[in-house]
Amino acid sequence: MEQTTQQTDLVKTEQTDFDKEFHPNIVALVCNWCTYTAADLAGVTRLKYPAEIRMIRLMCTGMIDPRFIVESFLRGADGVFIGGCHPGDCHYINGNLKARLRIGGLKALLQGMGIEPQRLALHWIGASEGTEFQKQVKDFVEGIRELGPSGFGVYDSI
Amino acid sequence: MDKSFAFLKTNNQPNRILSRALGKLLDKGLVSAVMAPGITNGSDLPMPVLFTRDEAMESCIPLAPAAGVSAAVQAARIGRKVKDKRVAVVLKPCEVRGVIELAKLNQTSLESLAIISMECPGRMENDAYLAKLSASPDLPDLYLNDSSLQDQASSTCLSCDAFEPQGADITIHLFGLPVMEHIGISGMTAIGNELIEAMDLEKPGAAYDQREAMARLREKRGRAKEELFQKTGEILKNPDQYLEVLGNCLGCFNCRTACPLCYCRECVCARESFDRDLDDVSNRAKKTGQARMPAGLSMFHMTRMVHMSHACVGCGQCSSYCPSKIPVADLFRTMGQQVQNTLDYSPGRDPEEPIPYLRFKTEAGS
Ligand code: SF4
Ligand code: SF4
Ligand code: FES
Repeated sequence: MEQTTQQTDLVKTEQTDFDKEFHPNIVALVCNWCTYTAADLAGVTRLKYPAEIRMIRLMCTGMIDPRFIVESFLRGADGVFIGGCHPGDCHYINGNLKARLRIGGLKALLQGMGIEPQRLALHWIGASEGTEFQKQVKDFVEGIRELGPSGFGVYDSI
Repeated sequence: MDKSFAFLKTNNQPNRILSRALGKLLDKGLVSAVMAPGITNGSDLPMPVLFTRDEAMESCIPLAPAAGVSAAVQAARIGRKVKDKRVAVVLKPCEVRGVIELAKLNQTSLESLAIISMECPGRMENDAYLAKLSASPDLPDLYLNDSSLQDQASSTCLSCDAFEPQGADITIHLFGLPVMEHIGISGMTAIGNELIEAMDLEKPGAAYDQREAMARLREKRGRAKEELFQKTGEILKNPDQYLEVLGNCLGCFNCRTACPLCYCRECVCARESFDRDLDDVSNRAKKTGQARMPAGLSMFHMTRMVHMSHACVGCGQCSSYCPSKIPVADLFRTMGQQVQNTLDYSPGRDPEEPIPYLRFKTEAGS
């Protein structure tokens, strides 16, 4: 018991580089058929990408209810990353195009509520594009790190 | 289609005379019913009333400066049900936009409707209208001729520069005209022209130039609108101001009930999945030791914004219905304009213009 406490203290006092950085909460909504597979590929090929993303797999970006995004921000997300199939490659014909329109409108709305547009990103990442996935996620997370916390959770107090 | 313009002599009673002219449409069998603002037993508040016989038109107040509810919803009910018959509906310009938007959402059809609208001096809030009416029973007529009365319109109307109807079959002209002597009536479509034939109107004797009066009003209300959008834009962006404005929201859903565009029978926000469970509340309480229990009201308003901001026609009914006097319409109109500008869309302008979320482009890019 004694020992455990000591150990915890030890861990606490020793600040690593990781602790000094701001670690944003990032929700990634990714399509099963493309971006999710790309993420898997990135993993298998041991491409490192930021650990801050919480990935949620969906069958298609067309099923992203804007609510998923709004609620993520209200509940403390600092950024939402969406990855879908390239136009023409969607397994459900045009789910990705519908997603693009909805997200376009939603971006204007979120911007009107003070959320920087960079906090919501939509990328087309094909199943074989592991490196593209790594690059986009890295860029996105770094961008959010620079922006700092979104603070949007305050809106959720009513 | 050339638009025709004719006069209707009003003899100091524009509402009564216009009602009679509408009654002629019934009398001559050109329409099977007229839906227009009117009063019924027990209430002086103008509500949409269905008139089927011309002698009943005495209780019609087609130019009433009040609207208990948005008539767009009722017009849409008629359009949805009535086939092979024509019904004339008298709507304010924002209500015309509402019914057009509902048609695009497949909630109604415009086919059987003959839409009659007016250059709109604005509506008063219900309580203000009733209070004023008890002191001055001629208020609906006097209002049309008195800019100091018009300045008592609802704050939404005072900042509305979309007061000229678009998409109507018939337009009633009021601005810049001596309304106690005569008002102008134009047919804007073939149906409109056919109907005004039956109203026994006069060819204009004198020429009136309405442009100056219109421009003046557009300037005044346009400026008020810009100021309002500016101020409200700041509120939306600033959590402290936002919470101060929306903090008294009771979550009663009146604003949603009032909205002519919120057509769902069962609102998604009323579903169980929108309830915040207790774990969630206690989690939120962890930081400060307290958390309000009716939660998720921002989620409700933002969801309604996601669903409706591209379609908000700026009728102001959501503000009028709110028991907490929250300027809901200011928030929705401001957000509406931002989203509509982004999507390059103007709700209710043209029945042929597709809803923005259905216009997908097929080329690449994100
Ligand atoms: S949101 Fe408010 S102002 Fe806009 S259409 Fe609905 S009720 Fe009218
Ligand atoms: S009408 Fe007012 S109190 Fe009721 S839910 Fe809407 S904003 Fe809240
Ligand atoms: S299946 Fe991948 S976006 Fe539709």
